[in-house]
Amino acid sequence: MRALVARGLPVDFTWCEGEARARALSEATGAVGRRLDLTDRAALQGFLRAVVDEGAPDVVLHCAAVSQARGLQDLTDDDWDRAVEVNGRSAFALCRALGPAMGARGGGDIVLVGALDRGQTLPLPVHFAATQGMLSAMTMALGKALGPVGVRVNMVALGPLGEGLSRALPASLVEDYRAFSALRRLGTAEEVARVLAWLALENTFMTGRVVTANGGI
Amino acid sequence: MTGRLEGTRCLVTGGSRGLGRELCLAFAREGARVAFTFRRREADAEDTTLRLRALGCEPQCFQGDVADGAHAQAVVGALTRAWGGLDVLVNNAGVQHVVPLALLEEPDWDLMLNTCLKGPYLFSRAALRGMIRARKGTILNVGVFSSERIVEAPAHYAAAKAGLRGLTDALAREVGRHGVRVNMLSPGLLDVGLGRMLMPHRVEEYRAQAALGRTGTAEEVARMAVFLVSDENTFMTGARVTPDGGL
Amino acid sequence: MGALLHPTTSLCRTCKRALPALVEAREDRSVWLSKSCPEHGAQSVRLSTDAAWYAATRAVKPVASAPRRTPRPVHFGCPFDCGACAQHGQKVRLPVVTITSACNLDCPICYVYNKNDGTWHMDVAAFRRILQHLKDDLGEVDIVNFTGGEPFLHPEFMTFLEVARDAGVHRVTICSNGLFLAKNEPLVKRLGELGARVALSFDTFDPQTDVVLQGSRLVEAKLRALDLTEKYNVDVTLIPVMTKGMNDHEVGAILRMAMERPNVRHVELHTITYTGQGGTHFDPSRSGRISMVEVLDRIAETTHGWLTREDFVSSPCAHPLCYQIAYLLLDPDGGPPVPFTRFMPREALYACLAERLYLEPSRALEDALQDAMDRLWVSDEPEAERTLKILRQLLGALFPRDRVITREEALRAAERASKAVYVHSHMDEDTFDVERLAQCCDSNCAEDGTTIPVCAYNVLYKEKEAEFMAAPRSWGERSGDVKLRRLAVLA
Repeated sequence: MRALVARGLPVDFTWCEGEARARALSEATGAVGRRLDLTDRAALQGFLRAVVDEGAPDVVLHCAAVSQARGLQDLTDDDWDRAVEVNGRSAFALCRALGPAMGARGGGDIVLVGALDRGQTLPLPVHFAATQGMLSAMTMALGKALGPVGVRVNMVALGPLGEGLSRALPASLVEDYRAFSALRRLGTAEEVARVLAWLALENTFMTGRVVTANGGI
Repeated sequence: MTGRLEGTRCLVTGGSRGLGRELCLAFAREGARVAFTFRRREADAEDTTLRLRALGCEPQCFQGDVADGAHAQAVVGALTRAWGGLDVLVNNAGVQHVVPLALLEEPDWDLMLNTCLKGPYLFSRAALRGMIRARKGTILNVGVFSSERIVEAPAHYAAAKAGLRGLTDALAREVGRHGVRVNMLSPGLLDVGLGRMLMPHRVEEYRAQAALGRTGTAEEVARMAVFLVSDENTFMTGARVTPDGGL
Repeated sequence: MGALLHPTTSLCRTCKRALPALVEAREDRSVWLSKSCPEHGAQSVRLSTDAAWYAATRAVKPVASAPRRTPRPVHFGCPFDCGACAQHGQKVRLPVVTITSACNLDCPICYVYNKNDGTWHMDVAAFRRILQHLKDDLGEVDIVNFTGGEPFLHPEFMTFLEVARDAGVHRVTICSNGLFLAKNEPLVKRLGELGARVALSFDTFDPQTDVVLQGSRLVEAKLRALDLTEKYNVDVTLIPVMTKGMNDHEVGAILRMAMERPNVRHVELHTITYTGQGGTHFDPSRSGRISMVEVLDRIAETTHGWLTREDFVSSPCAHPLCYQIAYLLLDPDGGPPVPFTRFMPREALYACLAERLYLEPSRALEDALQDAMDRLWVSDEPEAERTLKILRQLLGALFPRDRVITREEALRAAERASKAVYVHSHMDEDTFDVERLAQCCDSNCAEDGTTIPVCAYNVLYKEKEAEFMAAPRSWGERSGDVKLRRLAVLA
């Protein structure tokens, strides 16, 4: 987000749990933050309606995701549902609501943030991996669905960062990653933000694709 | 305002025309130092040189066959002497040859594989010595959308470009620990090269298939490439970027 | 009495009234059309020398492609409601625009009517209206054929070309006897610049025959026109009119010349029709009449088999007895041209011709060629290797490895790699068959938006027009007694 603000663009964002971090971000960047629980369907719909009413944005980033570092036996149906709600369904609802509105305004870019492009083989938490497969396949179909109205939809599949959701990955996996990835290090939020900003602002001819920014796995 | 590639030392193979030329121009606009190679089209190379000069960039220009190891060594050697090193290598040189298997003769195969696959290997290997020593550098291999999925494409062309994909992945893995990144850019049908030669009904088919409903421009693809080779891009390696209009 | 092949409606050769007619095969395998006029008696004419060929060819059903707009109600019945009427089966594929009544020749075999006293020239505004009608009907106007008279005698001829070009017409052809072209090099140069094509009448190499058919010695002038069009890259369609016993033995020589001259794209062989100002009086015994299949066989004889009747397919856009089409691949190494049917199934060639009268790059053609290359590759036949080599050279020209060529250059390379031979059989009063007329895709276009099939126009409708006739005829009685009575009731 800071990467977008740094380019002098007006930005709104949503947050759910990290109130303090959201405040700090608002103060540092001047961006407007709104609390939104993506598992609350009514709230999400209301929010999306409000966004459309205010005038559809040019760029939409979907970064929200949840995961828990649990083995298959320990995963509950609730874990599964929550991952599907936040990682998958909210992205679907967002594209369904904002995509056509953006198209009506002359087009734009939606960038979904995920973790897998199906090129990797990793022992990830099963429910998380499932939602990432959902996201990448959905990106392909969204690209086809919204391309004709001039809205590009792409996904960035991130490698583990030293912060955020990566903390919900098994520690051993993160260590393996540090040892075996091409760049031999974890990523930073700042550098993947530059990738997101690039795709959101400079891409004009790619849609429906998953781009990896993972240091080489 | 300084450019995003200010002072960056870039080499583009096959830079006399088409996407290669647009890459040179896009890099130069961002303040890069640009060198390019070409095989035969002297007039086109001269034209590219003039256009680069108009942007305030004095290019280095080398004539030769990318599949010639001595040529690769000579180009990289000359640039190392002139510039002290190389930050960006774009393996762009390719051959456009449309032919069904029935007519695909061994010399066709060799020319295609030599240019599209052996060339990138030779130039990467020549350039990587300096990049690894400097612990900095990036290679961008120019592929094609048809190596990303099954579409009608000449077998030797698809094989060479799929091979280039493997080379990209393997090199990314092998040299990443030295801080060198290797990525692949696989554009769709553009307003240069094959896109200008295909019969209208083929171009129409492409437009109908592409979600964005159009073919691309070399200029927009080159603009995307700027980020990929710039210092802003620090975490993407072994990545494939496929601007193909949503095929 | 022979075996009935089919009934139809024809015309009286004298009064042109509609008459019921029967087409029958006789014991000698010939096919005859017979009818009887209450006033002018029984009439019959041989349509073909090969009943089996006639029946098999007639059995090919053209692709249904009715015109979008049919301004004329069905009133008198075919062929008296042209414009087109709602029963017409084909949209216009070859729009013919008659722009002048003037001609600098008076050919004995001429099948149209011209008028040099009180010459009529179409004005450009009328042509613009015709183009607009065609656009409304067809979406895009692929081709326009200018005819006359001699179109180059129109004082504003170049304006017509420019208007057509600006309207996005891809293929403009001009019917000409070539005399003007032979004398006017700058004109030919300008045609080349505008990308216009010439349909050049060319009946014979023999000066004596020339005098008989065209009334004058024109061979030198026509060859000069061919040289000039070659020099300025003007594509040419040769139009030889075949007359039995006079020039049919020359067809092989004409085809050979067409294959050798790079700018000759097509040969469109016509069979003689005894209509129009010349044709009506030419050869009173009509012994020169020649049928389509005879022309095909004369081709096979005089080309020593490099082109035979099996190499022709019907046009899917027209009645099969009107158009037979062969495409040939040229051998850059000088071997005989290879008919497409020798390396692809006839059905495939037929399918590729479904969209236009001419073969154009398309997915169907590409697939057919790809199939052909695979088949040739796995074949042991001696000719396969040569054909594959030709195709390889063609691909090399379309996708040169050492340079990028433009789409236009590629299209030109593709065009120059092959040639087409059409046998196009027009009808006169004798041979008139409304079944064929109803499937006609060559229409004379008028500024009121009507489109009249060329044979109906030449035989019937042009006579109504003062522009072309010294004494234009009205045509009450033409539609025949039965229909006249019906008209009386309606009135």
